[in-house]
Amino acid sequence: MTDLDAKTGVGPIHGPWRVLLVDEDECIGCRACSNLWPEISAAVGLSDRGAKRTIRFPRFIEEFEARIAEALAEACPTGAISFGLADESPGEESFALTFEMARCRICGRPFATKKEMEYIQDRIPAPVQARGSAASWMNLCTGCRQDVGRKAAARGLIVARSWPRR
Amino acid sequence: MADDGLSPTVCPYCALGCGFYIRKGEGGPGIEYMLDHPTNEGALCPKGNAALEVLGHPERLRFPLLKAGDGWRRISWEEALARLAGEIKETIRDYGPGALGFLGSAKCTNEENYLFQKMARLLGSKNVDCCARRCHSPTIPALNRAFGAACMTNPISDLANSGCIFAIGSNFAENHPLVARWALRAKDRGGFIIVADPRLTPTAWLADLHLQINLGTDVALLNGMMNVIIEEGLYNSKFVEERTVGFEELAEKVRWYTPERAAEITGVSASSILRAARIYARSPASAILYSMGITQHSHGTDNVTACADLALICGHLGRSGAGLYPLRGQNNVQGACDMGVLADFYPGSVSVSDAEGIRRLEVAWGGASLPKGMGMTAEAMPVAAGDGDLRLLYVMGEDIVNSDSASSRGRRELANLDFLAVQDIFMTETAEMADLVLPAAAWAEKAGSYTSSERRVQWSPRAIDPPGEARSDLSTIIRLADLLGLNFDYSGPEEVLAEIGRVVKSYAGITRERAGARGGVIWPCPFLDHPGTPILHQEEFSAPEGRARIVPVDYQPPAEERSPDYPLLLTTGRIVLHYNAGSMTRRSPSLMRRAPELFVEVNPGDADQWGVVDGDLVEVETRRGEAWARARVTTRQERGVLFMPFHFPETNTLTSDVIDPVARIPEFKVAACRVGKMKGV
Amino acid sequence: MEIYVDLERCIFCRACEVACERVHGEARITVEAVKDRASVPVACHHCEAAPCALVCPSGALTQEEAEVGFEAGKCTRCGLCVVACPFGAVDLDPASMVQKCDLCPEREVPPCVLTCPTEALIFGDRFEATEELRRRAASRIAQSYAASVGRDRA
Repeated sequence: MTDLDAKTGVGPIHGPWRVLLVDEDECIGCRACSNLWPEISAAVGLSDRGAKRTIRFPRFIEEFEARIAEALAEACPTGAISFGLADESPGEESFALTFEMARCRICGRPFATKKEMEYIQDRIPAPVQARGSAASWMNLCTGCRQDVGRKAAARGLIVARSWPRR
Repeated sequence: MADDGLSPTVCPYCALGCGFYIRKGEGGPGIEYMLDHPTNEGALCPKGNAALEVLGHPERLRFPLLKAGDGWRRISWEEALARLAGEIKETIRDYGPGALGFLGSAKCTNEENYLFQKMARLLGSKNVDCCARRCHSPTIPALNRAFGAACMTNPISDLANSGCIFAIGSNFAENHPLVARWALRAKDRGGFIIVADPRLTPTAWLADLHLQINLGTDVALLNGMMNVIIEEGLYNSKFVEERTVGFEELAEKVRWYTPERAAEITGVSASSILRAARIYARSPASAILYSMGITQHSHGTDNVTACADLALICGHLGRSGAGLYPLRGQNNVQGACDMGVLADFYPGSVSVSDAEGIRRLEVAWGGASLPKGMGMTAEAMPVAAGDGDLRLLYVMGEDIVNSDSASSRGRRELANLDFLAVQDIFMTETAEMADLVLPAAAWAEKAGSYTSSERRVQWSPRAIDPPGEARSDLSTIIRLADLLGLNFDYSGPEEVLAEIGRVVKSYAGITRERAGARGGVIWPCPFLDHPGTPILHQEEFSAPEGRARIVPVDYQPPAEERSPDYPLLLTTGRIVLHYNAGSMTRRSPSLMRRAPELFVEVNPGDADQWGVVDGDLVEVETRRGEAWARARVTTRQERGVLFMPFHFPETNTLTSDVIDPVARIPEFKVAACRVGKMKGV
Repeated sequence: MEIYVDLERCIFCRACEVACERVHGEARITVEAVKDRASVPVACHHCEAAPCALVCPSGALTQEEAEVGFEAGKCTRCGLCVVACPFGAVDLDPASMVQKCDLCPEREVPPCVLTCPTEALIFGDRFEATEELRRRAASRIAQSYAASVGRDRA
């Protein structure tokens, strides 16, 4: 057994270590795992270089959290989450993945990660992507999609009701 | 309670009297829709949907409270009633019954209001009134003079039969949403909707013609329309000849009000006035809807008179689709007025100067002599308190401190009372000022009848228990009356309704059973087998010789106008999510979530000029005070006009206290004001 | 089945929102005004090839014949459906649970439809609902008496 305490000072002292594993290629940065387990945080940070979602995962899974680990693996849309038993202690309490976010083209609010958008685009037929209540609804946030839809629906009514009233 | 656990009830909010069921369940009471109700067919506005939120509210008054220093001391009902009775007797002994004031509640049942005014008058006090004074008080003298009866002439559902619906001074889409249902059915059948309102409200959205008139210019518009109708021979000469008096004087008066002159005053084009007049007159059956935009003015009585004149010269009365609809506010304001909780009327519209009518009441009430003559109105009582003429005020179910105009002055005046007793369901700001607070049961927690704006009397049974020691106003009044030696021996509200039937002619045929049937009974219902009277004035009016009186009136401008110091005009009104002074709706989470704060609507041009930014807190100031409100920059109203809802207490600190000389209603609708960034911040 | 909206009748009273919230805890229909001239309620359209159901990884959202069903028990709160809905009709509540109109399967008619004061919400299949809308519009035009009242002086 490796003397972890002496080397890195993190995690349980004695192995083998039950660890959370996330496949960086598969993870799309959705919110399933962070909503399931509060130990995982999914924060959105804004900087001059754009908007990023950072998901920070704890590396170690204690015994009693084993069921949660299973639920996490099941909830993950892409199967990116798994867990394993490591012989060598990972040298970190936690690890993070960052995702570039798409911003709403009207209000600028970051509303989804680019990988989430790809995941969705892969599954929605092209004609549906092109239509809906607005020309390019895909790069709008929820609120703006509603707004655009409302404005389109009410256009005729607004004209009719805006006649000069004097 | 019916077998399936559903208790039929009448909505406690506005005067449309919509029905729904309270469903008793394990998680608390719920709502089921009453699909077969003749007025709402199951539909409910957001307030009706949220109505149950006040019932179990943690702030409900549960125990009688006596003022103790800055706080309250809980006391027993025995002590509370003994104290109130004692104070009343002392006041009578020291100052006479004229120093007592009684404000009834347009939210309480007919039975409660009836006994309330009976108690007051048996004690010798003339000072009985209610919030109708602030609302449709002009309707009463104006329509009494015009028709001999002051009430809505046709049922709400009858609007579907109108070829033309003319709404003036009424934002019914927000304030009486179920009216919109029937107006739209009329529209489906080709009906034409005309809306006259200084603001482009959701009601105006539904209009085929919106007349965006200047504030307070309704008489000029109506006279202008009548000018056109008479000029072009569009009036109903047969109706005028057979059923009215006074046409010639009116024709003479409106001669001056050509469309061009009316356009100049109202700000509406002459061609629109022409169009509105022709369509209203020529439709087979036309209806006029009006509400606070007509009544809450320093010339409110004239406004109502002009509306009645228009309906009369066109003969649009007394048949289906043709009527005059004063849209009343409170769930039981019509009932409270019918029960005589008015300074100028006894029950059954018996005038306080009608010696014969009062004598009949004296006989019915056991022989004691009753006071004659006009008493203090709801507006006069605070003034009298300030002067020391009113020493004790007993308020049942009204937040007068917030519903008074120029309300800061009212607060100071009320503070001068020797004793203020308030009976309510929440610690309103009026209750905060009281010496004694009595906890009352809410509508669902007591049984009684309510009369809607349609004259529909409906029984609402008790569905759930009141919280703590709260009691129905009926039981409180009966116990208090006993302590005052008045011998009110009633086993329950049914017995009181039976007495009402003996005293008020139009209620004579209304029993608990009939009122409890779906849709109740529409008065007049003069005897037991009478089916009720949905449409009034079908054969004749209740005036002398059965003829209606056409009375000419002149346009008069509002009391306040724009000036260099106050370059804008503030108008006030309601929004759909809140109700009146807000004591109930501002405690309902689902409504507060959607309308959390006071706002002021400002036209973009005015916003630019006065440095108002949408979403900022700004200050609105009138001669009577200032208030902060969230700015909403909108094109609903033209430049020069601001709008604030009065559901938040600050609004009425700004409003004008100039009153209509006949009805004594304040001009809530027009106040000169200014707006700008908040000072000192 | 769907809830259709007759926009000419919506008066921005939001009774539908309050009723939905009363019954479900969160409102699944939202009403907002446009330019202070019109009011538009937005709720799930129950699409025929619903993007939300296509992307839902857990099968909580399912494409039925005439509507899109939702089973809260299967929801992983991933939030992908929110991004997938073209109309912005799906949202997450404060607990991140999906809130979407489910046409109230336990009731005969959804409360929002029953409560709408102006009958602006119509519950039915596409043919029934649009027929009602057409009927109303045609009736207005056909029976309009005011069309015969001219603008010129007599």
